[in-house]
Amino acid sequence: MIGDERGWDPGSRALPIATGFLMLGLSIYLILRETAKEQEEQTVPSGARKLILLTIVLSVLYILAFRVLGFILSTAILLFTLIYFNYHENVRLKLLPRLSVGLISSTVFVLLIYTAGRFITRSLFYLGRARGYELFTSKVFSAFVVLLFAAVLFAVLLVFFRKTVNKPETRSLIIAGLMAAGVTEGLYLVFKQIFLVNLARGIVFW
Amino acid sequence: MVELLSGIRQVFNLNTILWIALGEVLGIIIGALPGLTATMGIALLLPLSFQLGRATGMGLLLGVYCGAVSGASIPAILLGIPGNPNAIATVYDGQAMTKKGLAGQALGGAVVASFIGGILSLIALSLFSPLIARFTLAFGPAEKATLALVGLTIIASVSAKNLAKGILTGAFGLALAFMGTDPFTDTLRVPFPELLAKTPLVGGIKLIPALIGLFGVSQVLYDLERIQGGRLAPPQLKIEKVFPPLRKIASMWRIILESTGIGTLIGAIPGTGASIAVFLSYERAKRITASPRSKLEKVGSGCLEGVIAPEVANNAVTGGALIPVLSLGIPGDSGTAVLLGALLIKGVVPGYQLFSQNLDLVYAILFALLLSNVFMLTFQLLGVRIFPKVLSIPMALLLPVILVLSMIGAYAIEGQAVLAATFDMGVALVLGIIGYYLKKADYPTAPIVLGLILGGLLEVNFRRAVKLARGNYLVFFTKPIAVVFIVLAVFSVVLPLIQRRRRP
Repeated sequence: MIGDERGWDPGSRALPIATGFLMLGLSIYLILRETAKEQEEQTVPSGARKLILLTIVLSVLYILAFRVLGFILSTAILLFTLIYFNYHENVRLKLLPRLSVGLISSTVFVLLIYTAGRFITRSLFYLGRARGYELFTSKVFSAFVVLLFAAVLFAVLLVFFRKTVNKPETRSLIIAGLMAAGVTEGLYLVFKQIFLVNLARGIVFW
Repeated sequence: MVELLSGIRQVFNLNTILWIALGEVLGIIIGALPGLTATMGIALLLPLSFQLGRATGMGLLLGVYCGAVSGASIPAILLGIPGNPNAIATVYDGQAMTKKGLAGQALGGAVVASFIGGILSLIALSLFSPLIARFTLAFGPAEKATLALVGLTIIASVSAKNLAKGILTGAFGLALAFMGTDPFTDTLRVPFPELLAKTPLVGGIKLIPALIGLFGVSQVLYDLERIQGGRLAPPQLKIEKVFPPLRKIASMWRIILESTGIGTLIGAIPGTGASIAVFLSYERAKRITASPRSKLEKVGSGCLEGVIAPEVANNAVTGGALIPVLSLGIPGDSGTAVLLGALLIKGVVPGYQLFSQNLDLVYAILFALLLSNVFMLTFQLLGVRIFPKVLSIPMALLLPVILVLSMIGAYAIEGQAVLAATFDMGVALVLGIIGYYLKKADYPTAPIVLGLILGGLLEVNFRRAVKLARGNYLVFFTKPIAVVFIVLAVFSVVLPLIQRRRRP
């Protein structure tokens, strides 16, 4: 680069190229060494291998869809799908019909909680402004109130489902749905509401 | 005096105290869950600390660090599975005590030992780091460049069974650090410039997304391999009489002091880490108790002495590992590498500058570490029957949550710029996948982090030194301190090779 030589600078390329040669040399050495001796294969169970692949693929899709679908929807879908398949310790086609039912219900559920949370936050803010209750305008306070609301709701739902649902397949669906919604709302409250991180809204515009 | 008071004020306020307490609880939980490491915990909470003030953010991370190191003893004692490598030597006597029905004593002893180790090493940290930092005043560019080289070569040689693999991953970290713009000329320096110049990657690889990827995402993928086989059996034990008799602990003064010394010293050597310190202190305690004159129970027979020694050592590592971080800017282990990253991101430069210009922050860090240790003792003793319950949390639930937390954590750094933040998620994912495959092929990931952190320091000072010497590359051999560092770097590379030759 122009100017690199002026002032006896070793230059912009000196260390990157040196590092490159070091890596190249070591790689050749390691390749020759590894091929010379028998490598013992580490076996990963096929179910786990599929889960790892699914996690990587869904994570890529998550990043691609993040700005379009928004944080709430994409996070809830990713979490639900991963927890559901992890519970079954494998990725099987026969799990798909239940997955789609669960996905739709958990998406609706997370949207309801999110909407309720937004309503509570805005109402508190409005009350704070209109009536002069300064505490109500605090972002931490409103996040705490929403968190409390969500926690109570989840506790009630958990107790209800524990008493009424006995089938393990349905239970795994419900746990995945509740967990996905809870974690998504929790992360939203911490990162967006308290720390004002601009989590993409996507199609969830309200 | 003003700095001391300012440091106290920065830590002893409700906000910071609560964040440290939260960090401690999360740390204990992360430490107690087998497979989740202290480094991963710190990396995951790094974005949150980024949103807080300097002292509060560091307090949160130190809380996680302390908690995760001590929490690892819970599954080691109850199930015989260490929560992370810090508790690898606690398994022997801890598990044997549980089998004897002394689980409460073992857990309580481990907590008290962790507290003693943490506090004693904190004293060592406060005594030695200012002295070493003062020494760095004599460092010019040549010394700084060779110091960065020492940090890199030591971690590359210690963290890998195979030296070539360690150096290769260290060089990979350096290559990542060099991406972006040239520090002197601001010219673009990225591979595939036609493509990458239009993306946020033009600014280089950011440290936090890289750390989250290497320690968070890669760990999720790695632990997915072990998801089959279900959850761990939650221990159904009656935990009674938790606090060990003080007289018994006092009688172990020699074990405690030697383990603290070993932990602090090993922690302070870059790249070594707790897993070496715990074995050394365990072996040392074995020798002390095996002596015919010793009135202590023999280590290895399922006694408190065998729990106290490694637990004192692993928490002594926390203070020891912070000594080179604060005084030289070279981390002692991967956990403190992430802590160093947190400091650098906040614009704090370790070394003499930190002790002269940001002394209040140094005090705040020391007080935060003190508070973390006090919280660790309190929470672990109070929650001795509660924390073991986290062992029943299924990995099936936990791993997706950690993955999402990693993604959002990487995103939160560029909190306002959605496109750049989304790219950071991509960086975390790609490095996570690379980290996973490296780990599987037995390549260490710690040197990558060191390369990323020290790359800038190495390059800027290397070029500055050569420039100041009017293009003379031999300048590094004309400065005595730099020569010492070069000898150390060569020594750290050659020593493992000689040791391997000697082994039959």
